Amino acid sequence: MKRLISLVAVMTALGALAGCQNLGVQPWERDLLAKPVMTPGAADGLDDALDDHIYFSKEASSGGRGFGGGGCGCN
Amino acid sequence: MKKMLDGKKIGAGLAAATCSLLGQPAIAQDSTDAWQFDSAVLYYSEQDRVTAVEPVVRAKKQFQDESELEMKLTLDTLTGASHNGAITSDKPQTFTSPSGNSSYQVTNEVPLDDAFKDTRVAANMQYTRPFTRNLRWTGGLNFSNEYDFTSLGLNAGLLWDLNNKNTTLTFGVAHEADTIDPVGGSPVGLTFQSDEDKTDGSEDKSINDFLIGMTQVINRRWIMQLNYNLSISDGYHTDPYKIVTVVDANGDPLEAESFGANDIGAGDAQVFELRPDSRTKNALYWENRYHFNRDVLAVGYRFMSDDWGITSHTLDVKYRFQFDNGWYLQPHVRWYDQSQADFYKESITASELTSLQNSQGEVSADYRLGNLTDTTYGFKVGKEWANNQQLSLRVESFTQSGDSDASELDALITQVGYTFYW
Repeated sequence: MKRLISLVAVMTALGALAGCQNLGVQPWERDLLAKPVMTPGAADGLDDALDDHIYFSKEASSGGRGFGGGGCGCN
Repeated sequence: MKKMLDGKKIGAGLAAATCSLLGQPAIAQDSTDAWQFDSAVLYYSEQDRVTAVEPVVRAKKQFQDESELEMKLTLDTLTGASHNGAITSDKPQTFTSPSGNSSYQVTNEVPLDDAFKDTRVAANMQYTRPFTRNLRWTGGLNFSNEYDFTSLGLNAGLLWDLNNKNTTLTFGVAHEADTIDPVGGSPVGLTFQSDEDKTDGSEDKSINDFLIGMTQVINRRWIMQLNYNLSISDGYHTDPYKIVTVVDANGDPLEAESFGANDIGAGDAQVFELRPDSRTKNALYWENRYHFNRDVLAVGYRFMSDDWGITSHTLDVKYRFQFDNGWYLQPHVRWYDQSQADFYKESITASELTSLQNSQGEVSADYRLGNLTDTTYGFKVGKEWANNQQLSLRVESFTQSGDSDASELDALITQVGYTFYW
């Protein structure tokens, strides 16, 4: 299962990367993308970090958005 | 035209749009010479259980050489009561406090240990610096300390911009070293709580994390991020304050003395839990952000599975209604579902205890390792001024539901945030 997930992840990343050359915008088309609200991880300020901390201590999952370690004795 | 596009403002914008390092991306502000301060106070309150008050302040600055420094300080004060792991029974059950100095009895209610009180201080620092036109490195330090727990972590990463900065690849590694020093000592797993069989000294855990990520601009309105995170931890994973009830054929709590253990009261057959000494987690995370004419939709999905037998799905949706004069309203829905760990049991029988003791098998009745479905819904309202100051209020309702009474939990999440430049 672990290997399968790793394989799928790598294949998806490689496939996406190859296809990505046709995606995207020119530098002068970044008016909307340049806004903080369009930046994954930064759009909601401190909310993500606070949420990760809450859910790390109440659920058995962590990581994905960033690293999985919690730096917390709550779980 | 070319000259203008290479200008600093656009450069900062590009970095902000494409850089999403380990969830801590570049500053997307015009105020390049000022420090950006994000501050927030979180008030988290569970019905009848834990209350947490958590003030956070984060300072960020982008320097002339486009390097970036980020520092964050978090204070976390916890009070209230926490489920001790035992079943909910209409027969009385007797427990000892974590320190072992006192005992308490519970009947007809979810057994809670009300000695739950802690203050956590956490500090994080992250520095990111470009070293070629398309490559940036980053390094960070994390420290956190609470009464019975200390954590020290460091991370390093590489960000690689490709396809005219429409694609950013992220490679990251992190190491975390945790020290656990339980109140009253570390209990010997699967022994009776009434015997207070504990060892002095602290326990350790180390976590190694690997992250590969890709952020991709799809078109002028749509950006996507895909992360894969592998987390391998070794050491002490047991919760030293959690127990498992030993029950008879009717599901009623047994007596410790019938196993030759100390008698401290009725229904005192409660054994300390024991978890595996390693865990490997795999997480895939996929985030999408789409900009309508004014509004923004954000959809995140995470799939996680680990070698404890837990599989989880998390769906997170936010929609930001952008109004005139900088006001916005952002409803938020989060849905989470997990399957139980292989060693999760709400309670065990006397024969199950014997076979666990003989094989040094693992068992935990911590509802957070059981089947669980959580929902969060709420909203955030905010106002942004022309000088980039921002004030926001977030109110959300969080509900947990699983197989046991202990897993039924309601909490309120309230947060006030303020961003300014100085």
